[in-house]
Amino acid sequence: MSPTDSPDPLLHVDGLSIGFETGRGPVQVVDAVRFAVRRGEAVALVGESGCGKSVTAKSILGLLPAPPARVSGSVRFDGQELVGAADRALRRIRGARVGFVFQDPMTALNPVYRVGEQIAERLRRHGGLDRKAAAQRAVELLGQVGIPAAAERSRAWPHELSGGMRQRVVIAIALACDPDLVIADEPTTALDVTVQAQIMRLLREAQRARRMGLLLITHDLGLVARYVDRVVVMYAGQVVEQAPVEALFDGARHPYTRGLLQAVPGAVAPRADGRLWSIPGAVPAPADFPASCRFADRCPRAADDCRATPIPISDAGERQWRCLHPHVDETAEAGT
Amino acid sequence: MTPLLEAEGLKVHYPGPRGAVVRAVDGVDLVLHAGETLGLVGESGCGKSTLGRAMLRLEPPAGGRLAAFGEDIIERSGRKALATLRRRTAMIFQDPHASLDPRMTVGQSIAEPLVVHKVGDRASRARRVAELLERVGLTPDVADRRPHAFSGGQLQRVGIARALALDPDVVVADEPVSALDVSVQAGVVNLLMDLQAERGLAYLFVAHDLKVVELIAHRVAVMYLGRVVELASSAALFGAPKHPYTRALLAAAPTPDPRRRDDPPALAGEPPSPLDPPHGCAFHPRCPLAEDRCRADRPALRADAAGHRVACHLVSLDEPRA
Repeated sequence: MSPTDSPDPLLHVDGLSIGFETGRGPVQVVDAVRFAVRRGEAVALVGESGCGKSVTAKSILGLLPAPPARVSGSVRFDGQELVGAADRALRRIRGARVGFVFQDPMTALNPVYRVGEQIAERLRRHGGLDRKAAAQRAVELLGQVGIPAAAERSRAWPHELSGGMRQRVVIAIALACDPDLVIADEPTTALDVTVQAQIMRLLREAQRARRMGLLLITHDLGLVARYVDRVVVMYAGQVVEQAPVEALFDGARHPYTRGLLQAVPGAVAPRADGRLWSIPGAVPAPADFPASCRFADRCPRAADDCRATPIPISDAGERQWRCLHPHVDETAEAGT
Repeated sequence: MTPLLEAEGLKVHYPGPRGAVVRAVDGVDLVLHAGETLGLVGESGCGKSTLGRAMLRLEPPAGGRLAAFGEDIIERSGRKALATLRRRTAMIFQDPHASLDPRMTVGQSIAEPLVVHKVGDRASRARRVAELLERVGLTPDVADRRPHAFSGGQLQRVGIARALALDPDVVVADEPVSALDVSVQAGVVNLLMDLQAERGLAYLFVAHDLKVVELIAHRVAVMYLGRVVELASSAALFGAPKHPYTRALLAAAPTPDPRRRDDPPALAGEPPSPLDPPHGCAFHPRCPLAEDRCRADRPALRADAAGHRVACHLVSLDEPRA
């Protein structure tokens, strides 16, 4: 059964479309996106810049300013419809039942409050704790996210901490009210590679220990391979492929996913001439998205039918792909 | 053969808060030979970008010796050598949107080094711009457009065309592909490799992405807190890294392989502040192998018989040399 059909996914995004009003008229940047995150599951929304992954994540809890954004379709969180929901309802969910971790911890932290106070504030507002209990719990949380000398560090200002420590504080805030879901948008892109591994490990362990859902938005396939259960690949505003992580890395069906995996340095052997595999051309601009396959102009397998009509999603249980000429791996196919 | 660029004990200092000194580059020996790619890797704040710029004397040295094309470029008598340096070297930057003037057409930007060095006339410069645009995979008619009309990958190709304008011998590339999407990045890396094969360019390639460096570099220097801690051929460094920091750095780079998902993080902690570097070996607070002498004495960069250099007390070299 595909995750979007499972009876009670924690987060169920269906037919989500996002447009923006621009000086030259409306432009649709996200088109009928459908995916789900189940309880206790880590899902990556992966794609290159401009594919719509970040806008999709922001729209989930009404974080896009409207206008200019126009959001339609359905986002159900724990059964509750969020598209069109009142601000008050969204605010109750944000920060309490859904935690956020963004790329740059400095934008998430208030520079004029000590880090312990920022965690405590969240606990008092959403968790109903009194001042003393909140301060105490803040120190516990700092310890849980791997900050040494937590009691002392809780009195530090954000600027006194390193980038990795700041991101740990942001994670502590995200986890403060025992959320059901954490949305992490490029959480380690600004960090060094040795620190990146520590932070991803921390998020993944928290997700497993608390049986939360984790939605990781990233461009980094190395992170995807290591830290999630299932992958949703976006290209030019559409979902082009979804699969469990092993299946995707063993045999991607969509030529774009294949191209992306091949282009990662070190992922596959380089070409015979020592050069990297690259994808020719560039992503079309949203105003130029064709009604037919959006990848056809860059695709080695494209045929006339790819340029004729919109491409439907094909569905085989846990796997979905939007392609008329997918790569099909016979050994994997035998099992389905 | 004389190296193209040669640094000895090079230091670059910045003023820090309250009179402190940041030793961004703290005594580095480095040579760049004709036609080679020397990769310079390390985490943010290790001094790799500063060193790259300092090698072209774009940062004032606080000490040490620096020569380009066999001539000293620090002493006052080196002014002619400095002019040669500017003509025979170029830089490629991480963010082409920031490094190209948004008010100039890309054709004007590419031709600017020719104008500055008084090369050719208007017509010949226009021909050169067209030729360069074609070589980097763009069409000559884009010369009249301004940077905002280009994608990141296209604009980085413009940055490369500009760097090639004076037919340099040396290009310092500072994170040239780290701002690009992976599918675009591969094309730009391939272009850089093709250009080197055609023109015999030497690259000083500054990057944090080890996989790209492994592919493109002939030799690699690993920096930690202002110093080179390991320097070897690409094959030796990636095949048999000696320094505990290099080993951790290689292990931390996420491989796109779901079967390695449970590998533990390679390294705890973060790089220390260059304002307050640890005593002895700068890496000792994070090093799983650190002993008392690592906390007391700073290890020198020693080479084995094959020229593999490493600065670590705990690595035994088959034939230690000074």
